[in-house]
This record gives sequence, structure tokens and C-alpha cells, in this order.
Amino acid sequence: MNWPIIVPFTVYITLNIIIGLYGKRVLAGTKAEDFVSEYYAGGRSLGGFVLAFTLTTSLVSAGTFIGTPALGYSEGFVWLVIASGQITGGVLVLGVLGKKFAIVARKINAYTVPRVLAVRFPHPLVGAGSAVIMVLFLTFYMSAQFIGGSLIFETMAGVPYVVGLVLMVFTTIFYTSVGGYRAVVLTDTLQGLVMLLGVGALFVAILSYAGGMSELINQLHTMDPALLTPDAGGDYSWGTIITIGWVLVGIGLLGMPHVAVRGLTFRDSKAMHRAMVLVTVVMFFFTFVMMFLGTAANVVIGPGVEVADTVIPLTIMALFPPTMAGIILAAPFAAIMSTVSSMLLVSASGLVGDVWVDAMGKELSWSTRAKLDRRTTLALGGVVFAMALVPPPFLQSIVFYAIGGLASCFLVPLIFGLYWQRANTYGAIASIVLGTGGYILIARFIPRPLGLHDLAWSLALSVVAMVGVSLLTEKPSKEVIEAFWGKGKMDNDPYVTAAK
Amino acid sequence: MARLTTEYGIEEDSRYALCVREAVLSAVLFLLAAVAGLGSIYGLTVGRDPEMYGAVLGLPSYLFWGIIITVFTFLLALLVSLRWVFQEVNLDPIDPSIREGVTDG
Repeated sequence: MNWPIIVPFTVYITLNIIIGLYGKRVLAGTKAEDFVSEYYAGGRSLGGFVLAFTLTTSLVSAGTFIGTPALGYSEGFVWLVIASGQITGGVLVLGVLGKKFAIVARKINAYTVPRVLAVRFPHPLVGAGSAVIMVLFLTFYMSAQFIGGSLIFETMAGVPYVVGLVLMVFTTIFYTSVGGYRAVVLTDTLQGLVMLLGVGALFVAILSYAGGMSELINQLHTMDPALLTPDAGGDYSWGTIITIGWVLVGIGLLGMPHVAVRGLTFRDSKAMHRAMVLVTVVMFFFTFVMMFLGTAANVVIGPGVEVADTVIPLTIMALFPPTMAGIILAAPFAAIMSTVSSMLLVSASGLVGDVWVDAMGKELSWSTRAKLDRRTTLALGGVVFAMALVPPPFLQSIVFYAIGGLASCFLVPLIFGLYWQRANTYGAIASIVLGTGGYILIARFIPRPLGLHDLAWSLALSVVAMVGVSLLTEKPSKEVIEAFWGKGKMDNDPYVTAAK
Repeated sequence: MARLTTEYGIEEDSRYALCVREAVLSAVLFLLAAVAGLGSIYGLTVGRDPEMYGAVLGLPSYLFWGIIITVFTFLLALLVSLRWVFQEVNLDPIDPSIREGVTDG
């Protein structure tokens, strides 16, 4: 056990728990009927600063802090180029879903993305189906996060994998299930600040280690000139680069329910505007520095590290004295925990709200609902824990797979549902089935046709299905159009009407 | 094809026209940044060996222009858009024009 690393880390985890308890106090003070609003959406009261941080830290996960830098370590700056697609993705999420999403959600009283879809396309296959697909892919995503975290903990602090896993799972589940959305966004903000400091320190440290930028680039050139090329010396086609960078981690972000849900929770349009600027700045900083570091790590720890996912922790240990390393270590951990916490929350809300209450028509009293929400969060955490017990060989492949799956299901129904009046339930079902089904099949049997990432194909399928099937079948009902385009608050819930 | 709101005789929430404009603008900004970034990265590296990339601040020039400057320009364009196109909108579930009694239908 490496105590100088463990102590600062423990202090940090304790802080997170304290915030969870604060969230619980706010929850305890809310009236029963406001519980759902507070637990899942923080009472829709987020300002620009907190919104920007919760959005960024939910976007930026083990993928940005561990997985992609590991790829950059072995393949070079091509991953800096690819990852730069996500820098402008935050503006896309906030701007394209935008105020329409925020206003509609208030009109139809929605706190989850599947719920928005279910009212727009009133059919259990959309409401419950999308929620189940969401939980499925988010479970993969979360297990990848915990695996990454525990692996770092093992590499850096000498803590056995399982012990690190227990510690992480326990903390995250605790503050998520106890404190709800408010605790999540507050810890996100704390974690975002920790990430900023950690990443900044790393950048300065690696430059001074190598003796300046030019010197660093020279050394990389001596090791392998291909590391400096934007296409890994020709190994990556531009089609691959564009479809992973700008489609998967760029446009694809629009279809991440744990990210999109942040578009439901800001206080006012001013908060949204401020967040658009802040999110770009912070995303730029994280993305550029972490991907740069991944490749630059070759200079610090030399090539040939066996488990590539340990590159960033090994670099941190090589650059800093142990106590400092323990503080910096909190950065990737923060990235992981903040992502998982928001995912846990949207998964729980999907299962309880969208499947159990809405689709299966179970009436719940508010207090039962509150209990069920917490228990589901706990149970989900348990499942993810079990999945993370046996780590697969590559972390980033799981992350990309999950992002693609979520985007294949949600992106098209969400955008077309918000902005195209003619989009109907059949179109939505067809686009979800063909998009998600197509994605799973392509990824399984013919990965990357023509060098383009699977998501590019499944999105195309999904769009064609949505437009084609919608036009061939009947128009959406007046109720639906009234709810999504009319002036007032929704009177009749189309989803409830359809169920009768 | 008539819009369904017209067909059903539904008065549309007056805020949505602006919402659509802002959404389109956000998507256009994203696309322009992608084209500018990828274009300069491709243009500065195609057919060249890494030692011929040139350096800015010690970085290979394509990283400087294709990512740093592209994002910086994107931010400027975003600030300009936020100042001149995006507007403060009341996010209330009920169209504010109803409350003000301007176009109460």
C-alpha cells in the first residue's frame, strides 16, 4: 500500500460523501410531490457555471482520461485529432436540443429523455423500450468506468483491484442514491475543478520534464515519426477519423441520455448561454491536454507499456512525488465518478419512471416512489460492480461501443421528435429498432464497413427509417402536436390516452 | 405539405421560431468548426513527412491551426452568435405572450 498516495485521495472521497449528505438535507426539505423534480433534476435550478461543469464532467470520463490517451500512447496524435471532435460537441448538445427541449420538458413535465420520447411517440415500445436500451448500454459504459478506476488504483496505490472497486462503487452509489441530482451536480463541479487543476499541473510537468515543447516533439520524432502524423502514418483513413471524431464523439453526444438530460435542468436561458461558452473552454482544455499527454507519455515512461490503460497513471507517478501524485490521481477518478453518478441516476429514473410507472401503469405514492428510486440506484450499482469484477482487455472499446449504441437509439427520435411535426410513433419505433438493431449487428458481424465507424451507418439507417415510415403511416395525433408545439401546458397526456 | 399545427388549427408557441433558428445556428457552427479543423489538418499534412509540418510554439503546425486556432475562432463565433442571435427566453411551460395578454387566443 502506497500511503502518501492514498491519504490525499481519502480526503477527497470524504468531501464527496459530505456533499452527498448535503444533497440529502435538501431532499429532506422538499415536499413529497417535489421529490421527483428535485431527485432527478435538482428542481431545474442550475445556473451556467454548475451546468457547464456537470455537462463536461458527464461527457468526460475514463475515456478522455485513460482510454483514449492509452490509444494516443500507442498510435500517436491521430487520437488528439479524433478526440478534438468532442470539443465543440457540448455546444451542439446545448444548442441543438436547446431551449425547445427545456420548454417542452416543462410543458409535459418530463425529467428523463425516455419520458420526452414517450409523450412525443406515445407507445410503450418507445417509452419503456428506449429506457431498457438506455440502461443496457449505460451498464456497459459504467462498468468500463469502474474498471478504469480500479485499474489505476491498483497501478498507482498498490491497492488490490477488488478493494479499489468496492471503494469506488460504494462512494459513487452512496452520494448518488442518497443525494440525487443536486448531489451529483455539486460533486460534478468539485470534481470538474479537481480535474482542471490536475490536468493543468500535468501539462506543465510534462513540458518541464522534456525541456520544452520543441524538445518533446523532437524526442517523439526520434522514437517514431508516425506518432506525429494526424493519421498514424496512414493507418487511419480520413473516413475513420471523421466518423469516430465528429460523428461518434461529436454528433453522437446528442444521443447520450445522461448528457441530454442536462438540457432539462438549467434554470434559465442565461445559464444555458454561459454554459455553452464555458463547456467549450473546459472541454478544449481536457481534451487537448489529455490526448497530447497520451502521446507525450512515450517520452516519460518509454514505449512498450504492457497494459496501455495504465499509461496515464504511470506517467503521473513518474512526474510527481507521491503525495502530489495522490492529488493528481483524484482527477481521473473524478472524471470516472462524475460520469458514473449521472449514468446511475438516469438509469434509475429510466427503470422506475419510464418502465415501472409509465409503461406498466403502476401507481406509486410519492414516498414509495422515493424509496424505489433509491433502491434501484443501489441495485444497478450492484450489477455494474459484478460486471466490473472481471475486466475485459480493452477499456476504450467498451466506451465507444456504448456511446454508439446509445446514439443509435436516441439521437434520431429525439431530434426529429423535437423539430419535425410529421415524425410519428411508427417512424420512431422503426428508427429505434433499425438504428439500435443495425448497430449491434454491424458492430458484431461487419465492423466499420468502408472504414466508416458503425455509428455512421446505424444513424443513416435510423434517419431513413424515421422519415420513410413516418411518411407512409398516419400523422401524429392532435394531442401530441398540441403538447410539443402548442402554447399551453399539456392538458391530456398522449401517452396516458394511448394506453387506455 | 401544410404544417400539422396549421392543419389541426393549433396556435404555435411563439418562442419556437427562435428555438429553431438557434438550433440550426449551433449545428452550423459545429459543422464549420469541423470543416475548418479537418481542412487545415489535412491541408497542412497531406503528402508531407512529419519533419516538414513546420512548428508553431513548438507544436506541429497542424495541431496549432487545426485545433487550437479552430477552437479559438469557434469560441469567438459562438460569442458573437450569443450576443446577436441567441436571445433570453422565458422557459415557462406557458407561452409568455398569453400571460401578457398580447395574443391571447
